[in-house]
Amino acid sequence: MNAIEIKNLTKSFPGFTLNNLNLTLPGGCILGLIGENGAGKSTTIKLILDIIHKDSGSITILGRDNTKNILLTKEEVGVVMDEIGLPECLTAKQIGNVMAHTFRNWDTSTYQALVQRMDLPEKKPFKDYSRGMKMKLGIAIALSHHCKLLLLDEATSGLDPVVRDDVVEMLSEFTRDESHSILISSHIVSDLEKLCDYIAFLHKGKLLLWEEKDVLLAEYGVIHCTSEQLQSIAPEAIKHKKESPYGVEALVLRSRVPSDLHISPISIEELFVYMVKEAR
Amino acid sequence: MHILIDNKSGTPIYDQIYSQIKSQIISGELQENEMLPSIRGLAKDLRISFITTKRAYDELEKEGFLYTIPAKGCYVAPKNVELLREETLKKIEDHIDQILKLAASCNLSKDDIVSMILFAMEGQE
Amino acid sequence: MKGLLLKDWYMIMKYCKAYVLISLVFIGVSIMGDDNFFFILYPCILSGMIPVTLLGYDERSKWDQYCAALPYTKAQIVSGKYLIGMAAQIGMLVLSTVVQGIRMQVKGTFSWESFGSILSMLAAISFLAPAVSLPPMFRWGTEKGRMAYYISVGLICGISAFLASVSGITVLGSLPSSTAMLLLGLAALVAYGVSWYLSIVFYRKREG
Repeated sequence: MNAIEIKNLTKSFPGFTLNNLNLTLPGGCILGLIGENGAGKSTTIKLILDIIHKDSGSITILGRDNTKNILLTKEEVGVVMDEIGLPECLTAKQIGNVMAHTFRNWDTSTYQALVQRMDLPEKKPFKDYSRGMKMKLGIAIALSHHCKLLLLDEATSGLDPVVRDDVVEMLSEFTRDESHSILISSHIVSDLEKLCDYIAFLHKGKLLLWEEKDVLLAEYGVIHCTSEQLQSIAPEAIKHKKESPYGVEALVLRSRVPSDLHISPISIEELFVYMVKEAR
Repeated sequence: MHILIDNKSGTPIYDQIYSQIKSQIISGELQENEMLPSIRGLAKDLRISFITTKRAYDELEKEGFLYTIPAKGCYVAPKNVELLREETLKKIEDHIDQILKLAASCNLSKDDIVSMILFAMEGQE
Repeated sequence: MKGLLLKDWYMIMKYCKAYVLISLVFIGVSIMGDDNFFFILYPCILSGMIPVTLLGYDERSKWDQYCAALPYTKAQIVSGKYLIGMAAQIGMLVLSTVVQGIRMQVKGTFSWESFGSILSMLAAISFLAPAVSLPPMFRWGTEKGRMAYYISVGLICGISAFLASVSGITVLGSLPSSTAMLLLGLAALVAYGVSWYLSIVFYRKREG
């Protein structure tokens, strides 16, 4: 079963349109949704949860249409947004009490264990938390009601490397269960790249690409060569090139490059930059 | 079993897992019928994609190094002499490929290559 | 739903302690003094501000956005505020009227009619102000809603003070003022109900 299935989704605001989006997150997998700020990542996540309403298309989440029984779906989804909007004066303990009366499947002992493991002060008001601590508490809440799907919207941006590492560890633990899936949206993937099974690129409300990560890495590569050498490659195999007086750097389809040229592996982030520039 | 993932090497991660498990099977470090970690467990411990891990296991299974018992797990397959031979042959072919590529880059002729190989063989005898 | 109320309760305990304190002081002053309506009315005005204040804090901390992802309907989110507001208003109303009743007893000016008038007037103050100000807040956000609140409080205070000052003189045609007060109180309660419904409709329409 797919955790999320988006078909022909369209939503227009003044000045922005999410255009005919098709996106799938297979169950048990992690999808990295990558796009610049304003590309439509948050809009997509809000549409998935029916916080904002689609103009057309269909969204299926955990096997249910998202306009039907969304409350039940929200019970099974953990959401961590860019900014954790918890009341500033509440402590972690009070927030736990509130959530215990919010989620049917709230697990107090899991929550307490997570709060402790992440060194979050139980009695400090939320407003005195650092950004990293706020994010960790947000994730702790998302992981304490036995959810099946995690939606992370820019949840790791602006965190220091140590906290990011903690987050990566929690996420990889979460997907140990094969019924658990994650959608991570971000403008930067870096350390999360390893975790992702699928990658999608969003640019100005349009999906540029959706593919299994390993396929992408196997399919694309970067070559550094002279412009004469570049001419030996079929033009359709060159996806993007950067020319300087001293040589060319080009994004290529590995399979179409003559074997005498050395191809370097590409990171998802580099691939994204190339593709966005190509799409401009 | 140990698996060391190097993110900075150009080798794809699935390939690193694949070749490390394989070499440990061939060397006998991993014994016949020994149980391997589950795909999800390994992915979690290495903090990598589930699909990446699955791909490495699939590849190993396809080549007969592993076998899967549904709902139980993956096990090291009994060693197959024929398989190992094929494996080695494939390695030799890869190396020859490599040689041909290098030769092409400095315009060696067919005869040059053959004579180089013959020369090397004489040296070993 | 219980989670929402619990969260608002924690917030009242933190942010609205001052309201309770000020209210008690004012009630105290109103016992000592003459029939100074300002001191009698003010605690009820404050209690009417509680849901409005909470909504302001929610918006500032982005709880409204966080809450949208939790398993609550928009009707529940709106109702939480109305319920917590109602609890605060009824609490303050009971306290104020009991105190005023006792004061009138002590002074020997107690009559069920004037007691009813005060009760109705306080009810009108308590319920009308949030009833007017909450729907615009749920529709356009707390900033604009706050404006609506102050305007509505000003209007209601003006009307009440006017009605109170002309006490004894018939205001609404041939009706005696105590009946007018009673009608005003009832109207405020009805308005609160209508406002509740409108807020739900407005909040459902709002996308954020």
